[in-house]
Amino acid sequence: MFKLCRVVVPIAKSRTLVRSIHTVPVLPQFSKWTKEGVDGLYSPAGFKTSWEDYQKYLTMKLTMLTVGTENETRSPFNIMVSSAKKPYQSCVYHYASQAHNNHLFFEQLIDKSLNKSLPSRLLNERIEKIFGSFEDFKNEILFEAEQLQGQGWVFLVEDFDKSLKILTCNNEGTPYFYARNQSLDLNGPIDTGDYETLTLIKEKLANKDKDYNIPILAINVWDYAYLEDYGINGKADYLEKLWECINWDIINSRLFNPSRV
Amino acid sequence: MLRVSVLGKRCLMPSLCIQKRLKSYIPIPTIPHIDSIKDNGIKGLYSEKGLNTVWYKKLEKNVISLEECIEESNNSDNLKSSFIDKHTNTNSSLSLDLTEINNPINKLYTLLNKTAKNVEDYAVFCFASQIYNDYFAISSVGPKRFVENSSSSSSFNINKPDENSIFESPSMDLSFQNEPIGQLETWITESFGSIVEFRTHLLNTNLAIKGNGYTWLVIQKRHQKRDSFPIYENLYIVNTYNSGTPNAKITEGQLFSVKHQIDDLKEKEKTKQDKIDQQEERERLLITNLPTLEEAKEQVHLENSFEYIPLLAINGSPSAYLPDYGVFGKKMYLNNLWDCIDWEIVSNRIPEDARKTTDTQ
Repeated sequence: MFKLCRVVVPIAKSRTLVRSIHTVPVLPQFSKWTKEGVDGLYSPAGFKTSWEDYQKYLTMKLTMLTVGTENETRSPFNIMVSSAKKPYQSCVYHYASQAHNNHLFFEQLIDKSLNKSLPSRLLNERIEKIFGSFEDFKNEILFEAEQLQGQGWVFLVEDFDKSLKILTCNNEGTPYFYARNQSLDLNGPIDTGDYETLTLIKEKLANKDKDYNIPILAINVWDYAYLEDYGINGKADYLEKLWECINWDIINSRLFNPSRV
Repeated sequence: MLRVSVLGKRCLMPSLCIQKRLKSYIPIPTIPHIDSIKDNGIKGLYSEKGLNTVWYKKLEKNVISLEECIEESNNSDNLKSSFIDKHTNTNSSLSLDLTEINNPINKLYTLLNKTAKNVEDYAVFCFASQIYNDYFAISSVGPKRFVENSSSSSSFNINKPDENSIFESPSMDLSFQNEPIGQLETWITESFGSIVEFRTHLLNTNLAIKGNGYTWLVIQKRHQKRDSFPIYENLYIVNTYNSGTPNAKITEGQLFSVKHQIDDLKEKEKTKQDKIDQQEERERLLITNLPTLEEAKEQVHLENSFEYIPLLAINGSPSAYLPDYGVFGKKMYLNNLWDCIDWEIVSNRIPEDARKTTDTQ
């Protein structure tokens, strides 16, 4: 998913060293969006904060943190996967996971005026099976995003049995590894459900269970994504507009399609 | 409709439509020294827009949300009673300052105490805690009082640094403007070694917050025995995240008690015979199994009766620096913030009896 900018540094005539620098991935609409913003969602300033500056910040930090380490030549996705299991690498994990999530989010955006995409029949079927109707699904996922108290992400994920579910992640939580979903917020009152979820995660870790979740749709609920254009109280407004700018062609292509196998 | 939410506790919270209410029973905390200059922002720290984002607009939303959540709560009357003004209680031998008790922020603290372990009032706790934390962060700062010698006009530098600021080496200066004064200074030096160490520790702890959170300077207050005079120990720096509250006393021990709750329930379900088996089983487990690290920690917390009294809060959430300093500006924000901390206000938060104990030392 991520391209690494490979800089070949010749050391001696016989040997070459391949060194990687993380750079901001190129979005197809990038030059248009920097000038005009994302129609129906971001002003140019809002786009600059949420993508140009923030992604640059994440990738630069990632490069600086991984130089000379085992993660040096890996892509943000691979760094995220490997560091998610190592508590002592949580700082690297933060930048890798955020870089991946933010790219996943921006990949699926399209100008509202150009957006003619619709969820495929397959996606619709799967959603209706779980959520009742597409409208219910929309309300459900946007409700989850609005309810999130701090920063975070809300994903529609595809499980190993190809069923869909909504996953809420606090801060830099990732859908790819259950112990790093960060769905629990234990800063306030805690109930038995939280405790049971926590115990379950510990059991799964002890059993070395694998996680086969794949994110299909990502909703960005970080301040970077809406503060510039919508203000501190503008989350609901932002989410409503975001829904109009989702390119369902991309979402459809992320879904497992048995006929394509 | 199938709910896939992992957090069963997330009760319905009101939608974020902002509508001005004429009268609210929730006392809105005011900060006179900030309110008087709000139209110009805080000189040296926030523009008007930045201040509005981090305090006034957020407060407005939080107060409305809090009110709606209290209305919807089953426990509504009890929660509302936190806001009733207290009057002189003749029975009380300790004549506490009533204006202190009736201060909106202390009423909010009463509310936090009531809801901190009650999952049904999860949303009430979150909104009340956010107001409490934001109040502490904003009331700890004031307009920058000094002007640096070098460039007088641009010394209040609030701007958005670009990506090159990441490569800037930290300043090697060992002396800073606006250092804490008086008793607080002595106490800080005793606890952290020196002001430089304290400053570095404080600002870097905040820099490590990636999502929403606050860094606090707190006093540890320990009750050795019931009814004995409290002992004020060192100062500490702690972080809280999202709606966390600095005084761990009011939230701690929950995982432990939930575990017991579940164990008790399981036990009740079993028949007497099973009970005996289980007892044997448990005795066997007790011999072989040591508690986990978390369990041990919780146990220590439960046995130690200390609490944290907050003196200073620094908001490390993106919303605290994004409008004025941009994505790359957190370091600049923190440096400016240090210059704007009002140490007099911070010192005044040291409890009266703590001031005496350290004087005699």
